[in-house]
Amino acid sequence: MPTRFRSHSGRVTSLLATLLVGAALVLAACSNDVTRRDVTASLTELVIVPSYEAAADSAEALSTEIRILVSDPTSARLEEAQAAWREARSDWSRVQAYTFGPVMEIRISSLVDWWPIDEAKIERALTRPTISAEDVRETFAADQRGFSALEHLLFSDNVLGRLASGDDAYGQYLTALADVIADAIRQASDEWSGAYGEAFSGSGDLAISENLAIADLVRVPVFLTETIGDMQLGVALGITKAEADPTVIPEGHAGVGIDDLEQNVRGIQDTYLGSSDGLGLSDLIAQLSEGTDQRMRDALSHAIDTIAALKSGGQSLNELVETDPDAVAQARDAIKAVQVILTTEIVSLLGVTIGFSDNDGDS
Amino acid sequence: MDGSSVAVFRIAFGVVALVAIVRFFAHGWIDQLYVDPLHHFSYVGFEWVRAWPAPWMQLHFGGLGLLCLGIIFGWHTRACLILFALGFTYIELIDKTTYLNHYYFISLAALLLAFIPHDRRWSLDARRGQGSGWTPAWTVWALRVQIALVYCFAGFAKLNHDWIVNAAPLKFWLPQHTHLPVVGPLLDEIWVAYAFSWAGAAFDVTIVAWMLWGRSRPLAFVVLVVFHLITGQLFIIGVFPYMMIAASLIFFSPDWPRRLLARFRSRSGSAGARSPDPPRAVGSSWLARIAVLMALAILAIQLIVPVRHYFYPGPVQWNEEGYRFSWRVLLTEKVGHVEYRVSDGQGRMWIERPADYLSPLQAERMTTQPDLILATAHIIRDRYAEQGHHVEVRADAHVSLNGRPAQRLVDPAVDLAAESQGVAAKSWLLPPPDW
Repeated sequence: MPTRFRSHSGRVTSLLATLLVGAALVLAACSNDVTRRDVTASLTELVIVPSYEAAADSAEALSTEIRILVSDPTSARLEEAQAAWREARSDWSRVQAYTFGPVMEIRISSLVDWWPIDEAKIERALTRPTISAEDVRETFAADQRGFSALEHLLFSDNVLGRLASGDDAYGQYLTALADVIADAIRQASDEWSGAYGEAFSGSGDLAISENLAIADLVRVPVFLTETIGDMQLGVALGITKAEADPTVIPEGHAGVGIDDLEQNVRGIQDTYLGSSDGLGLSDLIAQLSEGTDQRMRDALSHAIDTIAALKSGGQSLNELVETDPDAVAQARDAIKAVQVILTTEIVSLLGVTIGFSDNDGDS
Repeated sequence: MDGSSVAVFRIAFGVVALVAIVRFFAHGWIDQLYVDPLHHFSYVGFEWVRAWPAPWMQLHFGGLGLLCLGIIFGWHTRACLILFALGFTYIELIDKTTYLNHYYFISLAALLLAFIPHDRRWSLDARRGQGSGWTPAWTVWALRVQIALVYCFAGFAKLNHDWIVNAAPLKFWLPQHTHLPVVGPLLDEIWVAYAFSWAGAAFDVTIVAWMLWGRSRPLAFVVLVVFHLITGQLFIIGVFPYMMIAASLIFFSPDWPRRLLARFRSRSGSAGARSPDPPRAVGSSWLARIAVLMALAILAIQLIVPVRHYFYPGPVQWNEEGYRFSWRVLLTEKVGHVEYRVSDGQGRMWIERPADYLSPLQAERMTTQPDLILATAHIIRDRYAEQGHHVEVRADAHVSLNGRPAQRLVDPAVDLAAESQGVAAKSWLLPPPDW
């Protein structure tokens, strides 16, 4: 090779190397500060585990209040038991944004939260001589168990009368339902506090890939918003079905449908923002698109405000569907707005697959 | 020209195609993609192509597998290739949502092989005296051009603002693989996304030139193999990497398999590889001329099809008019959400969800592709028409492209039930965000 050419090519090589190093330094300066693992670990420790513990604690408090009520059926005890039910239900609604992992493995929904219930079956069950927690867990159908079945019994008009008249089955059924709910939620909470939480946050021998963990944290809110937006509010209002059907809203005598919605969305917000001193999905999204991050924050706040506004008239959700469907439709639209950002921008930025298809793709 | 490299191409093609067919069985895709869906998204002009009912669809795939064996062993090779090309293309024409670039490549390669002399070496046909071991030079070049078209169009498609300046979509895709050993933690770094984007574009645009130049070819092939193995590891793209690795061997000297075999045999002390028989007068018959013309036509059409999107307004990544069959490989992160507002003209309006009409894969893929959004609107319209109701169908379609804010893809005021399908530009598409 001629010397002149060699020397020229040497200069070009040096220039290229300098440019490459410079480009690498510039790009390295733009590197992501918060990793997916940081976020899953923080959410596990500061959001999910405390939320499940709160749900388990309030479910156990409900169980205690039910026992007190059964042994001392007075109006004051009934109010305390009903308040305990509301609190436990509220805490349970809040963890719906994390219904993956242990709650799926132990099929918790059929024990804790099933809708619709079968009131006739529940009444038939009350004709049994005795009812134990084991009966409820092993032989009762899903539509005879859970918060809604307990709501049916605890908020009925003559609950005190039946308990005071020595209807043992009634008291046993109440107690058994509350015990099964508390046991199931505690089991899930223990899993999250122990092995599963450790794996989900990325430590231990069974560590779950941070990408699978992030996918769960996105997928469940997507399904949750779809469920409440399309399957519940949409059908109740006759928006996603030609004929309106308000019975799909999982709301009984206690009338906590609006609080259910609010807590569901607050749970999604917890996942997105993380705790005040921790990380959330927002920290990953903001690194990729500040605009999307702000839109998601705004959409969540708007959804919560719109749902909370439904409470102002003191009506239940089912009543509002009849009396003020436009207000309920606005709440649905706000929840759908959250769903659209989740299923498009968030899913795209985090590279999450919502479905479970294993098909190839190359375009 | 020595026909052994063309023979290797044929055998490798048959093996990879057979693996692709076996995967359809192994993953249960035959039922999932073709038998179970209630509706299929047909290509314009191919509405007559329908999926066979079970078990005929499975038998169809089984037949394709047997044809692959015929191709591999060179038994009635041309007939096997023609039938395979027709049978595989038939499957691909059933439903647009199953379109994959590498399935398109399989159809094209089978069609091309069907028209070129390839049965002259290492085939049962040759043993029956149908081959000389020589092949016309144009056959090798036809296959090289076919592969060059894939790489070049794929490369030029990457020379866009998103890919080069924003490192999109790789900056969204690579962090999904941070669990991989050794390199995993690096994949979360933005500079890695840029490095992959630029290297990927440079690779696609230049690899054919490096493979054609004798001095760079060995190193280029190593790079090619590494590139495809990495993409195969990072993305769910089936047999695509292996198909391209095997096919790219055609860039080596036409006699490389024979020489390699001779070297192997001389080391093992066995007899040297048999030299090819003297060339026959190839290309003089009218059949051979027709074969040349057909091969040229197949290749020439591919020069036009990938650029047809220039005849449509707006960017092809957004409107997808002319997107398929243009070698736009792993180019776009596009996610959408679609609902339909159905009204009966009497003041009643309700929402229909695509998932209630389509398979999960169809429901996922249709959200970003305007022609599928239109076709789904027609499925809804037709469902109500069967019940005696005339309805209007409007789409609420939001799409996020390469990390951009989700924007409406379709004009929500337009009644899609009244719009017709076809290849004309879709006036009801809205412009893309900040393009």
